Amino acid sequence: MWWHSVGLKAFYDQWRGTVGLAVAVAAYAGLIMGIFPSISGIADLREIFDRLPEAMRVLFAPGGVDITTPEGFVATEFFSIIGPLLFFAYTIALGSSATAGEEERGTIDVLMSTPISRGRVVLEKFVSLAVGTVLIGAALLAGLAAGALAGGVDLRLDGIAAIIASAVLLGLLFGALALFVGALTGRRTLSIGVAFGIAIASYLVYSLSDLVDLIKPLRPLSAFTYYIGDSPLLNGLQPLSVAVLAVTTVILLGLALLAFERRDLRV
Amino acid sequence: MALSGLDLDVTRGEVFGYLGPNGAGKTTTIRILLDLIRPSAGAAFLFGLDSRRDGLRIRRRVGYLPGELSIYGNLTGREFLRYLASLRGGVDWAYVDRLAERFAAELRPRIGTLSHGNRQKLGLLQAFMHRPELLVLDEPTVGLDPLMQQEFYALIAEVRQAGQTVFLSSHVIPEVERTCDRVAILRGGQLLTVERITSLKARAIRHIEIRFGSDVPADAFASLPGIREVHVDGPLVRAAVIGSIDALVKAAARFEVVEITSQEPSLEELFLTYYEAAPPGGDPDVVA
Repeated sequence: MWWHSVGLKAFYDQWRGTVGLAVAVAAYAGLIMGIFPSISGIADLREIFDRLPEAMRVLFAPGGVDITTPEGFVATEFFSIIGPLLFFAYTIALGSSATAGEEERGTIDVLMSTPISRGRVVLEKFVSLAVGTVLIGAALLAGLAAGALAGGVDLRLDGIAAIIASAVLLGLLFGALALFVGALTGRRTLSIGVAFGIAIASYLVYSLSDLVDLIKPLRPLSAFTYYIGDSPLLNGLQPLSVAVLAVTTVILLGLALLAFERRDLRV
Repeated sequence: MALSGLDLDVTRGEVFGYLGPNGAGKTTTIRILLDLIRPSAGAAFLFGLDSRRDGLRIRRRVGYLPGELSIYGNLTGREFLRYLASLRGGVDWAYVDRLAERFAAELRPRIGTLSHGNRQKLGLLQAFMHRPELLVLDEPTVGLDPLMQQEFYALIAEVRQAGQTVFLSSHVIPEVERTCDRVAILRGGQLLTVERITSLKARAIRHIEIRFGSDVPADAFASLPGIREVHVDGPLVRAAVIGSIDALVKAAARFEVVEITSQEPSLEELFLTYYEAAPPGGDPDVVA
C-alpha cells in the first residue's frame, strides 16, 4: 500500500533502483570474497604491496590494514573507495531529488496543497532514503558472507558489520547534505554537485592527510575520518565517530527542515 | 509578479472570478492562498484562518487545481488519485468514480502517456474529489475540449448549489461571465475592481459582424444605444457594442440577415473602459 504516505510513495519510487543496487553490491562483494583465496595464494602479495609507493598504499589500504587477511583484503578492495562511493551516490541521488526533484518536475504544488506539512515531507523522504540505505548495507553483508562461505574464507563478520554500519552512516550524512541543499535551493543538480563535491573532497582530505602535512590539520573536517579513521573493521564501531556522523546528519536534517519550511516553493 | 494593495473578500457559497491577463498576478495570489509562497507583506485569511500559521487546517478544506499541472508520469490516474486521497485522509470513491465517468477521465494508463487534456481532467478530479468547502482553480478549462468545458461549467453550478465556494482564475471573459457571481479584475499586480457579473457584462465590449442579403444604408446603425463604433461596407456591418447587443440586433432585423458572428470580448478593451470611467479625457474610439 505504497500510496498511504509520502514516505511509502518515496520508497515505492526508489525500490527498483534500491533492489538493483543491492543485488549488484552483493554480487560484487561476493565475487571479491570468492576470489580472495586465489589472490592470497600469491605468496609475495604482501611484499608486492609493501613495495608500492606510500601514496598508493594509503589511498588503497587506509588505516594500515593487512591485505593478506580476508578483512584487510575487503577493506582495500571495497571499503576504501568503491563501497563508500556506492553508498553516498545512492543517498545523494535520493536526497537531492527528495524535495528539489518534486520542485523541478513541478509536482510539488499539488502535493503541498494536501494537508501535509512541509516538515513531514522532508522527514518521510529521509526515512525512506535511510531504509533503502540500510537494505543495501544488509545486502552487502549477506553478499560478503555468502562469498566467504563459497570460497571457504574465514571472515570475521562482526568487523565487516561494523564497517558496513559505518558506511551506512557516512551515506546518510551525505544524503542529508544533499537533502538540505535541495531543500534550501530547490535545485537538484546544484544539490548533487555540492554533496558529491564535498564527499569527494572529504575522501581526498582523509586519504592524503597521511602524506601531506599541509592537509593534516583538515583531517577532523573530513567525514571519512569518522567513517574509517579508527578502523571499525578491526576495532568495531567507535562511539565518538558514530556520534560525529550521526549528529552531523541530524543537524543537516534539521537545517533541511528549517530551510524548506521557510522558503517560497519553486512552483 | 509583484502584487500590491490587493484587498479581496470572497463570500461563502459564491463563485468568485479572478480575471486578468497572463502575468497579472493571478497565480501568485493563488499560491499565497495555498501557502506555497509567502507574501513579503500582508496576510491572507481563508475561513478566518491565517494562510501561513494555519496552512494545514486550511488545506484540509480546500481543493486546488494549479495553472500548470505536472503530475507523476510513472503513476496511473487511479494511483495518483489514491495517493492524494490517502494524504487527505480518504474520499468517497463512489463520488470520484462518478466524476471520472462524467469527464470520461482515463484512470488506467500511466499519466506520462496521457494527453494534456486528459491530465487536466485528473487535475480537476483531485481538486473536487474530497468535496472541499473551497475550490481554488487556476485556469481550470485550459486544455479541455469544448464538451468537457460545458461539463465543467455544469459541475461548477452543482457545487455552488451544494454550498461550496469557488475561486476561479481566468483570462477569458465569457468563462467568467458564464460561471461566476462576482469578479475581481486584476492587472499588473493591482486590483482594478471587484464587481457583480451583471455590471461586467454591461461593460464588456463585443465585436459583432453582420452580413446582410443586400447593401444596407450607411446610417442605419448610427446612434443606437451602446454602439461604440460602426462600419458599414456594402452588405457587411461591423460594430463594437458595449453591454447589451439588443438594440443592434433589433435594428438589423429590419433587413435580411445572412450571418451574425461575435468575437470574444477582449480583456484589454475591458480595461480601457475602467480607465475611461475614472478620469475624463480618454479616447472614446477604442477600436483601432
